[in-house]
Amino acid sequence: MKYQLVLQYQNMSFAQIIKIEDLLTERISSGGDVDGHDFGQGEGNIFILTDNPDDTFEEVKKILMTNGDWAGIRVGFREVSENHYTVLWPKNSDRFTVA
Amino acid sequence: MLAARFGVKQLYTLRAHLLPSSDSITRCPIDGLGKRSAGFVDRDIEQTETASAGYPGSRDHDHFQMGPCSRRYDAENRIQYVDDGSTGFYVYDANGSRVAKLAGSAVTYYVYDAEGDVVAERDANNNWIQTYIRFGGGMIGLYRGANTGFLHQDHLGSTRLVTASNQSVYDNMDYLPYGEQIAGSSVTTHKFTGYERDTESGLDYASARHYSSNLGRFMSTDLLSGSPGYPQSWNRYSYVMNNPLNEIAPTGMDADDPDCDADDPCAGRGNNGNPAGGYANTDWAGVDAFSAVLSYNSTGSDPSLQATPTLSGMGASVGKGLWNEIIDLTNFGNRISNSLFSGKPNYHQIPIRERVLAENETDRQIMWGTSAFLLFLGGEEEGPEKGTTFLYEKLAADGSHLKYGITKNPLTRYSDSQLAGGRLKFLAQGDRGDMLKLERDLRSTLPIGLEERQLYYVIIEFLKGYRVPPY
Repeated sequence: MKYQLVLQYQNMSFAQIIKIEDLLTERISSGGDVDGHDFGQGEGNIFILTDNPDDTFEEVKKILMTNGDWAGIRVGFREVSENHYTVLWPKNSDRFTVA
Repeated sequence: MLAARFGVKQLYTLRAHLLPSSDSITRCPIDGLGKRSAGFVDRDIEQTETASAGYPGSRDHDHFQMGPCSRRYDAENRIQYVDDGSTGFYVYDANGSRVAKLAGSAVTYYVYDAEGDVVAERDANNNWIQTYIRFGGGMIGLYRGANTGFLHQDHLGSTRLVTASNQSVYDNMDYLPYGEQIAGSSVTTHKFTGYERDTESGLDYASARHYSSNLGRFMSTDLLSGSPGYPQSWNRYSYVMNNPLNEIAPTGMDADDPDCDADDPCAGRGNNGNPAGGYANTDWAGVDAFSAVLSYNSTGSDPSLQATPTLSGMGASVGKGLWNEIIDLTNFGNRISNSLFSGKPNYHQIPIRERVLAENETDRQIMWGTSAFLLFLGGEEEGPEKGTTFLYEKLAADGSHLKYGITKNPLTRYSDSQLAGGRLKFLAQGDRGDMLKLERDLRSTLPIGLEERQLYYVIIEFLKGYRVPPY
């Protein structure tokens, strides 16, 4: 997989992060592979490896909106061999970092 | 490589060794005070010892004759002159480190790093002779002129193999238990347990003292006192309590505790207590050096996608899924960019070292190294199918805890800038469910507040139903 898509929450418990990760692992079908998570430093991240970050993002968005887990999310992606993240959500944001 | 068998009696004191050349047993009797009284390879030294003239152990060696040369000691009991300076003359700094050597007419100046390890040598005209590359307390390579050599050590840190960047073998060395070299030449002067072997005297410079591999003992007394309850430590010339197969004395100061050995180094001790690592600590203990060769193709940029590497010599193969983490040798803890694989020769052959499991490790790991990188391979002996998820702790550059996480692809989890000089410490490998359970357990041990939002979700959970972590 060429890209790493990161879903980031800053006001969510560890249990909720795991619940969302489990949901995505079960539901994602657009070539994305849920790689795992990390939690700490004020944020919880769910990592998804994909070759098509835009398609995967749209699918994730649908799943999480339906499930009510979209509020407060930040989403970005990078090539696995690069440092720089491209921000996908919120749309008006231009900076995305992983602690 | 030559094979030799060694006999070890209770308390791990070497008793005898079987020389491979003669196929006859040469016994090394050790008396109750740790004095080795026979079994020397060098006939001159054996004869000298038989004559008991100035044999180290009498403490009367201010001007000591042994074999082909004599030595004179300075006021701090360090060798200063060899053959009254005509063969060798040594200069020490205030910390006791040897900073210069005159061997015949050749002058060598030593450059030390902040940890007191030699990193370079210069000649009398301040011209660079060679530079050493160190990692984890051991020496892994040397630059000499246009040549680069990579040093491969056994579990004691003794240099056993020197290879070039084109995978050719420069030198293949072998030693008897006390360090007498019985095979190979002198491509590197750093030989038995990493000591520098002085050609002018045949002795090993062991920082605090000089060591004679022929005699199997140090040439001056230990700065550390022995233990009253351990007779082997009463002889302050003895080498690692005559347990050379398991113990080392990197600083030249011996252990007085029989429990201090390569498997269980004594933290804070002068010799085996090397908390910073080193080849004699847990990571390298029990190494069956060069028991296998790993071959792989590196035509792609991502090692996880490359052709399956194969192991020869161990009757096993390694699946490509085992490529887990690449650690930069020169900056331990940082991942090397995948691009480092690009442009490299398509075929590498690398000696394998089997890494001994730490107590909390559940899976077999293999650690192996090349000129530019170390690869940590994970997976159980049964195969890579089991244990596809890793539980890790992300550490800051200063080693402090940042966060826990789980991943199937540690190689791509964080970019270099995200690691920011820190590293991932892999805690366990297994099924995702097991890793999640372990992660929850680990989180329950964190003090509230260490992870910034922990207090937040403690409050949330409290409001939900008074549940106590872990959640």
